[in-house]
Amino acid sequence: MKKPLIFVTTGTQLPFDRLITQINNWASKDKQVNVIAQTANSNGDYHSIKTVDFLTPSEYDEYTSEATVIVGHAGMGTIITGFEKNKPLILMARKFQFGEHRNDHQQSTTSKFDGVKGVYIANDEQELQALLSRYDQLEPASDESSPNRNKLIDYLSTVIENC
Amino acid sequence: MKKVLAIASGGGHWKQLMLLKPAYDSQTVKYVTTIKGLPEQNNINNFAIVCDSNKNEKLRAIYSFIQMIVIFIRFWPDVVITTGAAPGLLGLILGKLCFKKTIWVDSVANAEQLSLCGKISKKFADVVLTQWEQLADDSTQYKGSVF
Repeated sequence: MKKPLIFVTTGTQLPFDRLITQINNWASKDKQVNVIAQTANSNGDYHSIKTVDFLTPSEYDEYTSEATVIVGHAGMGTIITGFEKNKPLILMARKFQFGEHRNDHQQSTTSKFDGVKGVYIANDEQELQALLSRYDQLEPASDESSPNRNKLIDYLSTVIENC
Repeated sequence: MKKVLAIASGGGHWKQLMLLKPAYDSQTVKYVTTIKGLPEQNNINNFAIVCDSNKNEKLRAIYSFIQMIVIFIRFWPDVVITTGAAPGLLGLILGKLCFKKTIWVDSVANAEQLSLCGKISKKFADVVLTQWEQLADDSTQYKGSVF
């Protein structure tokens, strides 16, 4: 039987070794899953998971569709993908203090999405391990119709039409 | 029909540009992004790829700006709209210099304050939108969000 796929992404700009290391450690203990990680030019050495610097957009689409769960940095691309593909999302924010991003906006993203159905926030390594250990019991995120989005689309189409 | 130049870096910015696509779908649109193969995923034919850049990479930003100038002049849009980041800002600056309508939609990722590019865009954009109600002020409007 095919093993479930855990898809991991640190986005397209910067590596995020704190996240990948934790996942690699977890995967080294639990062999019942396949883990594929887009690591954005990480220099780390990971033996228990498959890593790729950058996936092509079609590979990304394929893996995210197949994944049982998506684990990632708290980037909007990752989050929107989880909603589009109806997958549970485990998110860990990059921290400026560790040189993981240019500022701390990912921490404000995780606090805004905390409690949203299908979004699971790992504030530290322990919480990440705890979420990974029950990866097959997590609820999927869902891209329900969004009144806020329709409002924004209506406004923008009016501005464009009237220029 | 308006000519819309719609710009977003690959990743979350592009995802948001796609979620808002119904707003400009009926116009003549040229899309600009930074990752090859991305527009094809969304069945987009009219697009251009530019090199990505951020504030730490000045040379790339210059190259990206030159690419954007060529795209801009060839397409000559009525409207420039972007969801960020740096390449979108470059497009807005060109739009402003050429007296075109310019729209900045700040990424939904910025919930505490406007992005750096968003703050700079206030000087060049006719419309600056945040996707978080609490960030709206005299120069930045809240008109909805992708979520």
